[in-house]
Amino acid sequence: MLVYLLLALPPLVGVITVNTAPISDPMTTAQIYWGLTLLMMLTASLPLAAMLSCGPLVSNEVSDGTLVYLLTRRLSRQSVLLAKFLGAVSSLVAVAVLSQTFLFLAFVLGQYAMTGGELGAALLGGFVVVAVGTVVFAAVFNMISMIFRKPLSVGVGFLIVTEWIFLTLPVGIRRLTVGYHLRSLLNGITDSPALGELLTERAGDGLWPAGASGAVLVAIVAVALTTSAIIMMCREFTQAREEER
Amino acid sequence: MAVVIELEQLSKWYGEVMGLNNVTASIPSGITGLLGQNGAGKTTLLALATGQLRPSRGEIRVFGQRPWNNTALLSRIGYCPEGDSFWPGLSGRKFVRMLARLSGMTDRQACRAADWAIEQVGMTEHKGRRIAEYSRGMRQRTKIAQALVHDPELLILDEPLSGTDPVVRAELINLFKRMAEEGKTVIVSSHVLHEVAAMTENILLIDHGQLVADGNIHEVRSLLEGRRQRIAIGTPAGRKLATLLAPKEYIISLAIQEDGGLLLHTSDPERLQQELPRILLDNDIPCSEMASPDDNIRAVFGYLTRRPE
Repeated sequence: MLVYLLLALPPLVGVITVNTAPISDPMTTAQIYWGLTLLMMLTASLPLAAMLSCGPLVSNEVSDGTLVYLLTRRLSRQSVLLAKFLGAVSSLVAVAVLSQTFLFLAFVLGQYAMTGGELGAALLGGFVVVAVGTVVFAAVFNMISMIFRKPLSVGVGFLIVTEWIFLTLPVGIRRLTVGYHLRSLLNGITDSPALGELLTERAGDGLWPAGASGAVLVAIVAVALTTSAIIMMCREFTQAREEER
Repeated sequence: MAVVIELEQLSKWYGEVMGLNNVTASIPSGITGLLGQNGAGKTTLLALATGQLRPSRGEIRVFGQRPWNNTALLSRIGYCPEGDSFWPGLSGRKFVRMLARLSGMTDRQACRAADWAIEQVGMTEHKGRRIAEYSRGMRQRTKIAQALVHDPELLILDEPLSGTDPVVRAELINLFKRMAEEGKTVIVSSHVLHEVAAMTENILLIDHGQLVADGNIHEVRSLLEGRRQRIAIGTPAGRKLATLLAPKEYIISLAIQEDGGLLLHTSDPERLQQELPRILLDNDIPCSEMASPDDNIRAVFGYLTRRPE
């Protein structure tokens, strides 16, 4: 339930802001909607939701005592982790996209039914970035949950440092955040000058080309998943069970 | 009898804590009882046999193969864990069917196999209900069903009779015996000697991670002769049950508990176990549990390990 609320909150705030703001230009209002909702989505809701649903993938099974049913079937440890990860990410992506869709429809019906073309591109870009961001944050938080015994507190700390504090530091450091590359990706996909301006302003520097940022995000996912798999092989399935005893 | 599991100087440590220490033994086909008090190392041994843990030292072979990271071997093993854990929201049938699917069956095969396994443990009538609504004994039977569902050659059951009432206990013991007659190997862990005695003569006794004795149960039981055992029976009709049991020569004393249950001392717990289900059924007496405090098995371990009781 908390995950759903986290994902629904940013678009809801967007709808309320746009519908109460004294702005007459449809495109400006649309950009405010997308800028607000996506920034909130990328910097707060999505990482927290990913952390809650994808973080303690295996440790939950250990503490619940159900891991033993999986470990004694004809399943390799790697396939258990992969299946759990993909399942968690799929459901998270579905919820994220649904929340965006429903609230975007509410937004369109309430304010801007006639600006379909421009908003359509932004909508598509938003969905792509939400989906990509979900996978990236899920992989990162899965790795955090593998490394640390208290994934929630460490994950929140990681978010505060990398996604919020880094954004207040000099420009080069901001490129170390996942959010920076998601913004670059969004900017490349939507190709909207006004939205690009908003995103660039938030990033504090010129955004990277979408392809380069996409490659960085893919690399982050690959490194996080590989690290998780190695740690799991070495420790999680043996030590966690042993500690449980 | 063919050897199914071989343990050779098998040890397992959890950091500084010893789970199993230098155990060498062979487990043949048929039923074998793994006896030991809580924390003796039974679950550790079973986890090693099912590939959940890797030995710290020594070797374990099941059907001649090492179980660790051996997924092909796991399809020949059915495991019923001791813990009372399930995924929330599932019915008994869905739970068993899901685990059948994870054993590599198609959906149709899994449905058929789940229905068969559930029937074996006498849960067909309740298979559509959520597990959360089950009694302890029903959950125990559902766990056994998931161990049976892929028709394994080796069944490893960790305390499968705990929490069951005497009638269900008798049914399950018959089921395990039937499985053994059909050629399966069954390993049953328990801390209650007479439970195991009702199933098999072949036992392994473990205490503090070490193998204390293995072989014939009669040798161990002879150590208990003359000792009385305490049995607690959970029933709202303790007084009526006491009246029926009082004339039995193997009943030493009877006491009605505050909750209506019955606490008795017996000189022959095995005979009590055999006769009690019939007495309960014939007289329509409900019974939720029969607990056997392990005073006497502790005495055996004390004797065998030369520790004071």
